Amino acid sequence: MNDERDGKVATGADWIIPALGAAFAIYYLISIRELDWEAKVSGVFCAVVLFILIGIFAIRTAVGLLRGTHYLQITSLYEDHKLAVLRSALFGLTVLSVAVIPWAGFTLSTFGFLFASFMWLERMSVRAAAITAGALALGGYILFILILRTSFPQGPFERLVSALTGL
Amino acid sequence: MNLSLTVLSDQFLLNFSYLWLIVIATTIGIIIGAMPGFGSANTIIMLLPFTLAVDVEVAMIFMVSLFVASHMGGGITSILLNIPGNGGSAATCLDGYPMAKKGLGQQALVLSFVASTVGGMVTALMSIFLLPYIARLAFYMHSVEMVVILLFGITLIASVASDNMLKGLIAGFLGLLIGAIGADSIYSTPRGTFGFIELYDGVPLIAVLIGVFAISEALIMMESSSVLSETGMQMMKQAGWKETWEGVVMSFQRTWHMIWTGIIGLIIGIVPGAGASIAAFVAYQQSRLYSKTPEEYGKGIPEGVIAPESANNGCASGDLIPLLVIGVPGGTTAAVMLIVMTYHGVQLGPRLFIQNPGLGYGVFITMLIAYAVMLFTTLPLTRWVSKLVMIPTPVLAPIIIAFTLVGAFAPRGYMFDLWLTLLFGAIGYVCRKTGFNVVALLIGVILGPMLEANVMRALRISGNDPWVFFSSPVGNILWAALAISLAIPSMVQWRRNRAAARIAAA
Repeated sequence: MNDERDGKVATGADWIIPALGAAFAIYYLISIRELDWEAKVSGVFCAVVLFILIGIFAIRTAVGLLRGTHYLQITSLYEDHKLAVLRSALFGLTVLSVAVIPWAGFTLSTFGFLFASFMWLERMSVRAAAITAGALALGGYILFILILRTSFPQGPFERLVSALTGL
Repeated sequence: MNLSLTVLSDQFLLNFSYLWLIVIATTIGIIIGAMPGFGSANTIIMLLPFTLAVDVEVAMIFMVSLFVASHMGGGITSILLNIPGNGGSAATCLDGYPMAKKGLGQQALVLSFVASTVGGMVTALMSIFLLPYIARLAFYMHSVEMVVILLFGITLIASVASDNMLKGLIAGFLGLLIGAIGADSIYSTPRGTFGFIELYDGVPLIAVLIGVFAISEALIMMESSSVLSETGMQMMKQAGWKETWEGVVMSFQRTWHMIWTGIIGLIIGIVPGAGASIAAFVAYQQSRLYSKTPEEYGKGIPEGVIAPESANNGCASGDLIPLLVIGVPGGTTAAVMLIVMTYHGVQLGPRLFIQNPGLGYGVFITMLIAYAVMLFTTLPLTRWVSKLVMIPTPVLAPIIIAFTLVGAFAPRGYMFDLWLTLLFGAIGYVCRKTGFNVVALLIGVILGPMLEANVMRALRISGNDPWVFFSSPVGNILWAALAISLAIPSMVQWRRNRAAARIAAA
């Protein structure tokens, strides 16, 4: 963990990845228990090595805590309230924009996501945010859908352009 | 495989007559190389109607130019945004991004372009003259040796890219296990798919790449209003042509470095499946090992940009050698080229150099010309492209997310892949905040299916004898090297701790 205090190493939040890794390895081993040996040998090998590495990590952490070279701290993922709100807003808007793609299509969902992000995160004026987001969404539509023919779900904008121009 | 001057001069003339096509292909290649999710293989597939309609010589000029340009383009976003355009440019992030943060983005881009050009040209020239000899290396690499090389790759990346080797190894092996998701290649039974049919083909690599790099980086970026430090911002505002020239001088002061790391890329590229990501990390690790200032690596040192970029492009030459000499593609793009060449009735393997030597050697002549063309088209661009990092992060982060998500969707066209990208974005964010290296995680996912395929092959051939992995002399040497690479960092750390304890006691 990067977070250090008086030369001591913080531990706590750095157990999220090993815990997720161990949980996934257990699920993986359960999912392959009925399979032929050849189909599971590589996965078993990786899972066993992962358990050994997590075990060493646990012993190191325990020894560090006993010797006083480590200290417990689980708030490293949440530095301050303002930053946490901004980051959550960005991630939340991303999730929302992905959720509406099947109905809004690429261009409108991208425009909505960028417009809301610029307004909220950068405090842009409505006009500047709309022009910047509109230009970027339109550029993306031309590059990814018209030129590269990415098969994104069609939304009202794509259907309208297609009906008007035949593109 | 007799090489004649007539064949070479004919190929030079042919390539010069298609200079316009090389310019178009390299421009497309650099753009798609810088866009995660739009690899050269996908682009060539999308442009198959063109490559199938024209003569095979013209098709090869187009495909080879696009292929090498995409290798070069991958470094742009690695340096400026800490988002590798492809696996081969993941190692460039280690020193390229710190250079950009210090306001040396323009110099870093020039270093990357010059190193790519020198690495690519030297290895293309070497390939022309040494083709018959270096191709034999591939014959020593069987499934047993490949298993050790792949494990070696993971441990190397864990030790090179991480501050904490144990966390790097955990990330790497978690990546390998994620790479083992999907139906197995023999019985087609699903494993670890959580019931999602979209995961039967395995975890899509682009979703992992974009999630752990682009999405998590965008979330981390929000911590400050600019990617650049204050001094970095001042330097970038004043940057002009002088910085481009400075980058050129910095590069040629390290000419030998560019050459030998390019050769590492060539040798690793020849091994089918080993790939540019391993080549770039091995070159980076070797560069640090022989450096007088190894402690400066990771903080923004020119050699840390040169080594992976030169190797990444050296690997491009190596990738094509097994395709031409034994008909085995070294990577995905080479596999697409194989399909196009087969469609045109070209017989690959030793017969190619008897029946159509011009086509075989012409591939490397195209590379030479494409690299020369790219140097003149990319260097003037560095002054403006490097300004990208001056955009405030609250504007840059949403743009990165919006446009990289397209790359996650494009290869398979599943909405599922977008959700998976967001999941890996969250995992990548936690990894970064808690010191687990995302590069090791990504490389693990890339190497997972290759490891499984080679383990299965070795066991099948040996009748399920696990001792087969210790049966080959080359493999055993590689096992020893693997053990040493694991032991050395721990020993160095132990000695440092002991020395520190002695000083504290005194």
